[in-house]
Amino acid sequence: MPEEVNDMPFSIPREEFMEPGHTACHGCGATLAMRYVLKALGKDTVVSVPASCWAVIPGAMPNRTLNVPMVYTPFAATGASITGLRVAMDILGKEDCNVVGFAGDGGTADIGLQSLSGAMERGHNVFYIMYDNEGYMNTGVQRSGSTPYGAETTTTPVRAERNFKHQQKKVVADLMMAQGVPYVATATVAYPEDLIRKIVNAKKIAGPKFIQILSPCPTGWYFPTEKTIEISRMAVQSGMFPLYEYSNGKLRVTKPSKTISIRDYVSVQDRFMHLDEEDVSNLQSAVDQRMKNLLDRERETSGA
Amino acid sequence: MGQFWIFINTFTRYWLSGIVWKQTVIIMSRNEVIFRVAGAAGDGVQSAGTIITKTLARSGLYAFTYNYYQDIVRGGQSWYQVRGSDVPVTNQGDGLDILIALNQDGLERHTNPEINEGGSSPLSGIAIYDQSITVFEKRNVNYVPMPLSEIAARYSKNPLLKNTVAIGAAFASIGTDFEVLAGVISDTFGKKGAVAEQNVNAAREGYDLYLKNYKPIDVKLKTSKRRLYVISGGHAIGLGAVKAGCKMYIGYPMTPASSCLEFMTNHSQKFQIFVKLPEDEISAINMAIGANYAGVRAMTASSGGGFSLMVEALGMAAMLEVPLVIYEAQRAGPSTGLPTKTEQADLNLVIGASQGDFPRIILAPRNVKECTTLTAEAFNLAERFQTPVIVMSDLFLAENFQTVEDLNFDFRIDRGYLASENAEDYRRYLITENGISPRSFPGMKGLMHNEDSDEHNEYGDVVSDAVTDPKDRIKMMEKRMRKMETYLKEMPPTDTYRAEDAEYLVFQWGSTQGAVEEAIDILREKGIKVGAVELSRIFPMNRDISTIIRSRKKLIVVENNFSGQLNRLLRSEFLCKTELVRKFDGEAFYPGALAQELETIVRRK
Repeated sequence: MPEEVNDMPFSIPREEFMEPGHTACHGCGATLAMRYVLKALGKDTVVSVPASCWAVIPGAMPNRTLNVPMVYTPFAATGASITGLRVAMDILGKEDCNVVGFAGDGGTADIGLQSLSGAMERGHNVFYIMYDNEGYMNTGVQRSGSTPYGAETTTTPVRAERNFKHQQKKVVADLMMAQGVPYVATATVAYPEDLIRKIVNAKKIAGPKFIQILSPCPTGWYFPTEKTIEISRMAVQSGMFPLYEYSNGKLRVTKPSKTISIRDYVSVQDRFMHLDEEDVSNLQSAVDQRMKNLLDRERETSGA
Repeated sequence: MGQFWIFINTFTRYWLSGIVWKQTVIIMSRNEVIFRVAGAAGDGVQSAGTIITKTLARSGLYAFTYNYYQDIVRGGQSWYQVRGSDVPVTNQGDGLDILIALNQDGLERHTNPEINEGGSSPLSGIAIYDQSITVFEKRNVNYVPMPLSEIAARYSKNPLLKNTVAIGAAFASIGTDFEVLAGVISDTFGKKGAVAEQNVNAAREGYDLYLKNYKPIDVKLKTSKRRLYVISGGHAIGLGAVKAGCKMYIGYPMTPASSCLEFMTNHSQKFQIFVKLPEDEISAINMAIGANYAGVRAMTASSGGGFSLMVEALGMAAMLEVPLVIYEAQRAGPSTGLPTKTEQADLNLVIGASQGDFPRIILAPRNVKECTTLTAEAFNLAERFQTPVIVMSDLFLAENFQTVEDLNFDFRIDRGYLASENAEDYRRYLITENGISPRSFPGMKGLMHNEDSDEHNEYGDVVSDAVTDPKDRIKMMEKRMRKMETYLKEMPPTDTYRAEDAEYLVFQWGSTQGAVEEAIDILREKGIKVGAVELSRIFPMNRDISTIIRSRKKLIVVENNFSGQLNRLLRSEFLCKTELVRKFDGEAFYPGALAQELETIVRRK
């Protein structure tokens, strides 16, 4: 277990496995996601990364930002890659080594979904971390299945025709829950203790684990770089990105102590600036419906 | 072309009117200028380059851009070169007249005679930079330190405004009318009213300050009233598809195919095209096959990585005899390779993709204009021959901008051989002399048939299940492959450049046209009888090549790859002896260096 600080019941381990030298944009949420995941898992970890922002930000030569081994995998194949790594580690007698797939939302919700679903179904002892920045940010902000309703991207340019993304976000964590993956959780960088606690909990389960981490992207969401944490927190408070933990059939939804409206959330990001009242209320009702479904599910599973 | 460059020293060029002088005698001002903006990603290098390009174009000057960038969002080192002239320019060119250095690294790197970034030249003119950069390695160039940041700070908090000041100074140095630049700047920042005004005023200060303190450089460009479009190959391919009546574009983002995807997305409403970004390339190609089967012209696009995922479906389209247009934009491989660099190393992949033998047509536009015409042609060919047609470009062609004088929009759509409703004894795969059978769309009356990826007979019934009929198999295979014979007979003659009396023939394909032609001009000027064979319809190979190559002293193949993929193809098709000039450092050919390499081969015994 990584070293813990003593003045809080559970806090962020001091040890760093991600060091200075990455080349991400200022205010990148995905770098924090990696940093916290590694803090929680410790040194004995191998990470597999497909085409994504994380494929280009671990450091430009001669810098290298990760202090654990990292392997690249084709875009569609993160699930297959971690399967191979896991089996190899077991053959080599390294059962304690953590195998982590670290993929973006395009590589998870779109092209990698089949491979992810296969890996989870096979039941290997692996982590699949989806860092969700809600679009193909590395290739220039294209929409993905995980882009929320209402967002502008370069493939959904708004203009006069109001051609923003009209489909609702595909939430992969929900799909994984439906598939019955032993451990599924959502987390975000504004709540690092929660994030780390979830990784540590997941580690206790010797099976597949899926954790979706909302990672705000100033470049693609069009907000000032110093607002990443604030927006990450607002995503939870507004219900856009509910935090939950689904472990061995039981769902636990974290209720934020303060709630805000969708209007509050969208008004601080330029990717939503074109939305009118009707669009916002569409989004609000979809968000409310999903929250209701989650709470219903929580009630059902706790009673069981 | 008709304009010839002479190389006296390696990196010094002079405009000569027919006479070659030794050493350093300048006859008259040159009629071209090369700008380079250098900085880190996020410094506004590309936007500055775009403003320069548009200003040249609006002055009625020809321009060609070259974007040297890395696949990180911030930092690193990148630069954007713009070559401008009053005669058409077809490549990024040798030499460097005006450097706008946005940081110390840029200033040192591009004034260093040892520079080697894939063949780009070091500075031989003026370097414009912020005067706060005081510590750097001095070279023998004209330094133009200016208070760029200071001026910019008076107008806005945005530090990138200093680039506009530098651009103002750069255009002062070649005597461009300031109003043209002001117009481009206003349009660029137009949406943001006050910002546009700030930028224009900042540029004017840079412009005036240069004129006050420095002499213009020795460049004379004849401006004109001609209207020029500034367009990249990726955009031109999109335009070609629009012209051909493409109504559905399915693309998954991958550099450098994304420039076409962006064009289609941005114009989808205007041209009424359904543009979708599916979950992967397997979906992309199959969606396009579905649309084409139903009778709607559809295309898909990717780079080599995405094309690799499309491979299985490619052969299926050929077996079903469904028309299909695929745009394949090459970048430096293998695997992720150099995602922001150019290469021509996917020819083997595209020619060999998918199991079994089937007809396919591969086109490789040589320039931006041809991107439009050949893509449009691809749609007609796909429907005429009911088979996949692949249009290949590379990052160099797809992403760099060129000025184009006129884009020809005359185009006749040919939908090929279609069956009429209620035809008697309809056979979808009718055996014909030219191999082309009557196509029908779902819902057409009386044309019931199967389309099957298994081997089938004329009706489309599977012949591989209960009993395989070897005779049917042979007939159908021969029918499909006869389409290639028919196409070969219809192919227009292969294009050549100064080849009539050439003793040495250079083979090029795709985007290397500009550099190859300019290299040939340089060698011709030296009295070397050299010409080029230009393959824009690269597969199947036109049989007239066997006549063209007859009684030449040497055949030299020029390619942006390691193994010489065209070279191998030419040797196997025409049993000829060839020599190879290759480049696989991720950068395009430069005409001067290419001329030297060709000359070495020509002079080798």
